[in-house]
Amino acid sequence: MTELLQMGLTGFNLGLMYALIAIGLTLIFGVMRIIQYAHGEMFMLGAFTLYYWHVEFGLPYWLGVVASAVIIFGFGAVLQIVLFRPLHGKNILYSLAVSLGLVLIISSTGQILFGTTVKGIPGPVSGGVLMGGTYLSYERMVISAVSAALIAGLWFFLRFTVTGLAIRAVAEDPDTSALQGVQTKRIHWIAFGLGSAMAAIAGCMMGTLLSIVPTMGFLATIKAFMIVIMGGLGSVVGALVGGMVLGMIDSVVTTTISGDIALILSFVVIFLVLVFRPSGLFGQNWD
Amino acid sequence: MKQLEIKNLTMAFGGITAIDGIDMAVEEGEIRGLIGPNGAGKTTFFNACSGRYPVTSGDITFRGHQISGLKPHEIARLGLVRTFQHVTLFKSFSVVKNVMAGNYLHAQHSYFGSLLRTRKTRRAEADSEQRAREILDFVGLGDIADKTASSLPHGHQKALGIAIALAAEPQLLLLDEPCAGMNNDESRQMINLVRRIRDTGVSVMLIEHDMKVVMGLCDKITVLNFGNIIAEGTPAEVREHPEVREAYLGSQANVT
Amino acid sequence: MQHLDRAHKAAWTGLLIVALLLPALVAFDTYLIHVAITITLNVALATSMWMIWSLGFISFAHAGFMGIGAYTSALLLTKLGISMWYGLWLGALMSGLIALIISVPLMRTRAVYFFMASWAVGEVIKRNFAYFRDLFGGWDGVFDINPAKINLGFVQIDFADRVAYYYLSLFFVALIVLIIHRTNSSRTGMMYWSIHENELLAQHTGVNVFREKVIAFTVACTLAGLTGALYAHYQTYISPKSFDIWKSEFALVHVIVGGLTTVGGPVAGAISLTIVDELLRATGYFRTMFFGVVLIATVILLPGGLETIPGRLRRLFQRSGK
Repeated sequence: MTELLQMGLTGFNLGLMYALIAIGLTLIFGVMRIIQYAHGEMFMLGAFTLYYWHVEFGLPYWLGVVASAVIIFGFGAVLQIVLFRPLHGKNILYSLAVSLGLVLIISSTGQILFGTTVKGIPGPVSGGVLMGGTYLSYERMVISAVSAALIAGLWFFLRFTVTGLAIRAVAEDPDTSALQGVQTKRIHWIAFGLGSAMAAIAGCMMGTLLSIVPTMGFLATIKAFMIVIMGGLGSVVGALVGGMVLGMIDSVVTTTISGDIALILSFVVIFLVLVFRPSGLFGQNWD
Repeated sequence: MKQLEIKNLTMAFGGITAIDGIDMAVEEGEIRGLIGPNGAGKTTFFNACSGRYPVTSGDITFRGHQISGLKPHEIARLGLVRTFQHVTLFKSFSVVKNVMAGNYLHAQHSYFGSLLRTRKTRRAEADSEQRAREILDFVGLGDIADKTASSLPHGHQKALGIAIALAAEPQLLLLDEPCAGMNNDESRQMINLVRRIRDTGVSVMLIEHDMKVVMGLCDKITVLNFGNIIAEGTPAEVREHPEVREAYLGSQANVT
Repeated sequence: MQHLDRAHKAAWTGLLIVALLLPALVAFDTYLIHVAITITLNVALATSMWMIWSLGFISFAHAGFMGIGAYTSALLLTKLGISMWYGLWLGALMSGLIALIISVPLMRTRAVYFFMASWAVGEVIKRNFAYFRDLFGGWDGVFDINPAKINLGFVQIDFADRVAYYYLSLFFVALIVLIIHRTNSSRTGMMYWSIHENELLAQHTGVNVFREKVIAFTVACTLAGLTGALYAHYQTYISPKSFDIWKSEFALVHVIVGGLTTVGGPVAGAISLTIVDELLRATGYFRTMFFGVVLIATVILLPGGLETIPGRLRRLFQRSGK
């Protein structure tokens, strides 16, 4: 029983972080209709920014998370303006190709600059509490709280602020919102930056909890894609649900059977979802 | 002889009933007009007949075959072919290749033929190109057959859309707003084209907003409003129908 | 339908002649022949991926299907002693069979979802190789996948010899390219491109889009399976890592850099990039970085890829000639 609870908590924790990465990806897709294949690299860069800030330069942890988000926001926005804007409205293959190129460039540059040894980021809090036989580390609790707060914050942002509403309008119907005076170009780079910043923060959290290597981005991309196709592209709720499902599978199956089976099982689940709902659980039919 | 027969057709999407139990029949060799205000269910009706959306309830029979429930390609195979309201082409193909692609059903495609490039296949391909050029001459695009489809002006693209449909050799052609966005001159040519299509033995059913076109061209007109048929008859009868006048007062005050 | 004009025919004939004379041209240097074999295999993978693209989608399951062909042929040899001559065909067939079964649900998804679902399929195939250790050897892979020998009476050919294997590989790859070219330049290809251009219209002019997609995907994966079997017997060692997502990604890079509208595109892309890849082999991570830069530069600066260069040059000369 306690073991089950422990697995459930780990799954919940993982699920929130997965959702955080996936929401960034789904936001970018929803607004621009591009596949950001280098999303995981943003996640990786975010984690390394925090590592250099906190470990190498000894600056405060939480400020580092903010700095990482801001820097990656800027980086994402620049990428959007320089590389993706010229491809807007062209076949989705071209933006896929550019982001694939980014994966190759960023991950190899990362390996050259950061080296290939595994690094760790010490957490902002330590210790934990034993509740009914289940150990709850403060670190995990803080990280879950931050992830949940960010997801909630984004949800409010999209629902109640002018920019947030403009992002949703562009995602719904780009032509009409452009006619009604929404500056779609501005919305594009904001959404790209925001999505990338979400991934960066997730990278900081995951890097604190586990460890960091320059190749960690690829796994994050895999997870984010799996979640997003399961939940439906462009759907924030879908990303949250998908993240939870995947987090639970990862936690439970990895502990009880093996990591390979966890991955195979999650792919099979996604495949079945797509067979019965070809646009994901909460997705629309994009043509 | 009745070509297309619709019995109690209903189309509903998530609680909205776009077509509400209509009955209709189209005779062979007829040009039938389908009119009605925006949102009356005209295009939905075409989507139902061509198999694009599944029928909610009711029956559609085409030349003795029940076609409700069939897939678009099966319906096209039986000889019911449609065009689309917004210009729909194979944009990066040349004009003649557009028509050849439309001729798929009658060009005897076979995988082994393609692979081995047998004489039969080569002859079939040459015939298909020949046929496509004939169709282009018929619709008046013969001299621009080798241009890229996307480079054509709007009027020509509309005509090409019809040429593609003709290449599938229909018995009944459904035209969704063939004259939309055209000037008077282009409209006149389109009217002429539709008449000539009918004269080759193909029945035509068309949706059109331009009343001049509909009244001058159609043998019989069906008026839809809110998913129901409110009038049916010759242009003269429909023009005098009180409900039609009322339905059109909002959008077009004058049914001339 | 697009009959080859004279320049194209000359280019293909030239390429074939160079390919046939290649071992002599490189003075039977074993390393260069190794590069040549790698090129042939990459050409095969890129062209079959391009065949799927001609219907308008990109499949990242391609390396996975290559793996099915490779593992089938490898296991037939190492477990049952069935020689490569049967393994090549059975590997291709197995890959095609699995592609056929998977494509029925897979083709329900469209556009981006298809891409991502295919990606999942490729990953599951690879993970299965890794997980079922008794059958597939786990992450360690399968060893001793020896190529065959043939005895023609007066002469014996051992395909462990690189030159012999090069010709074997060239033969199959030429066959694959020919099949794809024939299909593409006929009515079948026109039908595929019409689905690519406008699925809705193709459907309404009588094309059974679903059926054609399933057939094309199956054929392309069969060819990828054949490529995989050729790869296995050449390397004599395979592991799940040989067929991971990077393999599909590099095939896509070859296709995009080469060009998307004719079969010449992926061929040109695979040949040139494989050579560049070998030249940069010693540079480590810079090699990967270079590929990224080339890919982005192609999309932004040379949209359409290498295949558009002859046309661009012709236009340039015509302009300066006036």
